[in-house]
Amino acid sequence: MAKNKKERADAAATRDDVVLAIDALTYAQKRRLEKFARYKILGLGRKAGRRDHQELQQDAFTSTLLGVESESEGRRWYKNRVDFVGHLIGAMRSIASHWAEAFDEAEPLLDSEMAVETEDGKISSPISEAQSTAPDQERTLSAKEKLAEILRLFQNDDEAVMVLEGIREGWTGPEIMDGLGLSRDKFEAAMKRIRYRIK
Amino acid sequence: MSKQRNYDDELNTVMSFLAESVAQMSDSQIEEEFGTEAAPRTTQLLQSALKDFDRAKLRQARATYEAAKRGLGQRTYDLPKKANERRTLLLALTQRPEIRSVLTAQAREFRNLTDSDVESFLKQLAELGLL
Repeated sequence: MAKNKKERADAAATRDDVVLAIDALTYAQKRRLEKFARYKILGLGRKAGRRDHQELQQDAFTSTLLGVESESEGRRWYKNRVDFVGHLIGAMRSIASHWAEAFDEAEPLLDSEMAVETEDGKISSPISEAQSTAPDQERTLSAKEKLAEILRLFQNDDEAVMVLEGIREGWTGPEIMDGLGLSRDKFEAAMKRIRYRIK
Repeated sequence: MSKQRNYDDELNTVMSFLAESVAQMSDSQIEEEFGTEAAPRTTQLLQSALKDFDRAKLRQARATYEAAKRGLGQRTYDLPKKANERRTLLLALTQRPEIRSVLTAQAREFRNLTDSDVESFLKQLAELGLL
């Protein structure tokens, strides 16, 4: 009995399940996938290369198709554990992370970890003595510029700026609410304004 | 010592936070918040990926088939020179049960086979080590 229950939970989706799942996507589910992919690509910045949010969604789906046909390749969708959208979001998370790692491995000397900017604005690089840090500075400033641009969007919205600063620090939602003394309603309203302006 | 900042990571942290916030939103929140934006093209994107996947699989299968075919054509086999001798050999082989079991129904009806079919079946049997 328990074994049957486990077998049902472990049942991997078939190709038909995957094809049917595409047709069954609702507006909200499609929008969720699209927005998730867009934000992941914006977060990857230069590490995304020339890839866009559409490619990220397609790669997640192709990986699912591979998983249907292969034991060793792709990503299997266990439809009794997670719905199709949740599965694709997990796949996109994993692919985006892989792209970032591949970029870091391909450009070890240009990695932003090698050239960082101190809080007083100076570039500090462990390889600065060995070679020019100019490319590192350009890349680091590019992400810095994007962050500055984001903050400029909210120059008249102190709450949104504070929430963004909390996110930059790596705080969780509850930590931001606690740390800034914001109610859940105010936090969610700020998040809504942030999502509205950052697309 | 001042704290070092990594803007790439910070940008990624901010955007991942937004991505995860969208993943957590309810359907009604998404409809309310993004409902006025142009309809997403997700269905078309995924259907296009499905077509590309199927085409790639077909190309791969064709490439595997062509490679196997080229392999058979390029190898040398110790077969009789004359077509009627090759046909006699195949007929004799079809009497062996272990060979009958691996031959297709088409090969078993060997009288209908062309000379080229006979040669191809003999090469395949040679590949299987049954000659």
